[in-house]
Amino acid sequence: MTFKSFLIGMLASFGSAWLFVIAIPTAKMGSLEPLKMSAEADAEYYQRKTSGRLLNGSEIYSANACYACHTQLIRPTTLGREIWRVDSAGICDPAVRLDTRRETSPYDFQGEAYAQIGINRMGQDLSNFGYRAEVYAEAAGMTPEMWVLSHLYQPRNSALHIGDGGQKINVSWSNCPSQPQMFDKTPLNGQGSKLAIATDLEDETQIIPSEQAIVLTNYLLSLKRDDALPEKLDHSPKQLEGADSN
Amino acid sequence: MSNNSQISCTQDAALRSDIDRSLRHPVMFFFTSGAAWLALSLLLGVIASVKTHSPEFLGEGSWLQYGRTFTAHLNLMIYGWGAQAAFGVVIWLMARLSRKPSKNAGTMLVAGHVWNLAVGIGTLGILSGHGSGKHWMNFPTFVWPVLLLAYAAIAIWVIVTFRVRKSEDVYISQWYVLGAMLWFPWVYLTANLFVNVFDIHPLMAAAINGWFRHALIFLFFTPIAIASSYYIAAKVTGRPISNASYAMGGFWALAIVGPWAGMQMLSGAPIPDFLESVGSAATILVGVPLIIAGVNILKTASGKAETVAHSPALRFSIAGTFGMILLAAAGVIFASPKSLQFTQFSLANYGYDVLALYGFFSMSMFGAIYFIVPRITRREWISGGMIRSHFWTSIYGVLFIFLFCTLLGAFQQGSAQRQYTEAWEFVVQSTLPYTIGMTVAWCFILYANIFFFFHLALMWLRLGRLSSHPTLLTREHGSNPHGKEGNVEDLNEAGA
Repeated sequence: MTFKSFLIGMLASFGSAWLFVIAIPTAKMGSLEPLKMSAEADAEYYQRKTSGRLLNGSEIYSANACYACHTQLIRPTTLGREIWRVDSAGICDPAVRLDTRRETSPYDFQGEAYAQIGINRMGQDLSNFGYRAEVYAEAAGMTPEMWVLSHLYQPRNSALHIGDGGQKINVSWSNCPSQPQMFDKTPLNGQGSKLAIATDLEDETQIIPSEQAIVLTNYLLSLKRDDALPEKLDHSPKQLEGADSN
Repeated sequence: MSNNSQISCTQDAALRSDIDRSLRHPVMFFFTSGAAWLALSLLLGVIASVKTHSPEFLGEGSWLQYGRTFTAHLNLMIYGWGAQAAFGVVIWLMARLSRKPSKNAGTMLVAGHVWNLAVGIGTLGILSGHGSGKHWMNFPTFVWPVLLLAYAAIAIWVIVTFRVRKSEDVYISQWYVLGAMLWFPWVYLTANLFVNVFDIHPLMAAAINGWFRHALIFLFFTPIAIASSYYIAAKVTGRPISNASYAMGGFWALAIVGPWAGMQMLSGAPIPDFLESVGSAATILVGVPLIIAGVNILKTASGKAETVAHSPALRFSIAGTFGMILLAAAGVIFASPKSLQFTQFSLANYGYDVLALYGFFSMSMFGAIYFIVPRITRREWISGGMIRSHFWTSIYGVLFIFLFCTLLGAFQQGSAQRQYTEAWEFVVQSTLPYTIGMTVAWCFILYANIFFFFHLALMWLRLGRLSSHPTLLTREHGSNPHGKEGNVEDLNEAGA
């Protein structure tokens, strides 16, 4: 074999895979057609609604490699069962005939540079963490923002997990790392910061979140990937007869 | 022996010696700095692993936070150790097989320093919270062009050495090395441009990251490990490669199948289904070239059990070859869609990486290092016992990680995840024994490699044994096949 024929072989074998696995799918995924919500002529176009500083928040999520333990992907039921885990894939409330659970759609990562699908589920899937944070916060009598900040500061704080009977739920088993570097200890002035997660009256100090913690919290609270999809993309299970999709 | 053949033997030995001398500094630099990064990577790996079951270990400060230590550990193993061990092996192997002393050792040494500097800055970047968050590409994004330039300054001379080779014959190891040298820039540039530079769909960026991880294993680490093991198996046993046509067929099978693998990491994600299916199929099919090369290397060494047991280079290379065959089996097990239901988001991904990077690639590189270093330093390894303990602690560690923590652990973890009515605590508790197991195994491997680094550093300082006998892994000194012990320098003088 000559060097020339070797190069031709390399170019053909790698080049064809490169074309079909990298170049063409990237071009196709980059030009997704706008979709109408239904087949009706006057149906609205689907628009994913997001809020908050997604890009900055996802950068902090990335830099601290949250993806090493958390995923952001609700797979079809042929592959995974996370769609049925409570508050994992959306909301399912038979009492009000509501079921928004669905798989991840290609529009769900809009506003982010990189889809943090993840590699391991040491912790739960975060596709709809925003809802879970609201539920936990309500039980603990806090705002969702304060709840997430307190959780980032100490994930093994059982005071953040209150059961139906008002009892604390033990979460000392959690192996989620706390993020003290995202918080600052500052002198307590006046009534103190309303975002302070702990106050020491003797020392006259308080623990307040840094900009990083606030931006990451906003991002985590924005994780609600269950909005109603156009008919063409909607494969969500509808277990409740006559349930609304949103 | 005729006079002519005596002259040709002497010329041959002189040429080999010239080649070894010409590359001594860059090769030793790559090996020793690589081994230092490996020891640091393993230390970070142990810290990260402890944190998976005892999160408060060493405090919960920012620099040693789990996500950062875990990613720094993997990136150091890939770019700090893996790539540098590969560079050292390929520049030496290509020069020896092309029978050409190197005239560019200085350039490669400078490039090596730049590479190390970039790896150091990248690691500090990860640990200080500036990582990119893309698996296996976690260094801050400004680092990748520097790494690519340093790589180019090294790889270009490997290709030039091949082009100006003296011998007409081209060995299979040369094709594998050339393949790796050409695949790396294409794979690395594609991944970094598409993921870090171009504004593409975020899901495709994640899919290309999955592809990159597999391409780096199959098209860079694998061909270099195969090239090295083919060379060492043939050289140490003194036999030709068992089947040359299979060897070439194996190369092309790898070239054809390898570049399609990887996107099964996004199974169930809303990317074109074809990408997930072809990724699974290719990761399974890549087993064919791996097994072809593996069987070929084992057949080359078959019947030479004593040589395999006594030669450190061959023992490690054969262990690496078994690692390669196990990797082929791991691909079949983990990439099949049925298994992905359990293992897609489990310890399987990490375990597969560890098997590929340590159980297969690193073991083969250790084999090459044990072969090359005495030749270029003209000193023998100081302690057979240290080599033996490096071997056994590595084997115990990596087998425990793969067979127990990964095979068993991943399926148990996946099956716990599927029990969606159970609280998440159930998943964490189900995974706990395996994360503890991983810590123990990493401690074994760390122990092995701290001593390996010191052993290698002493060799670099030319403090190795001045002996005409290679260091063999045999306890009976009386029956050394190389005859009476002597000082290699005295022998040289006598010969001269």
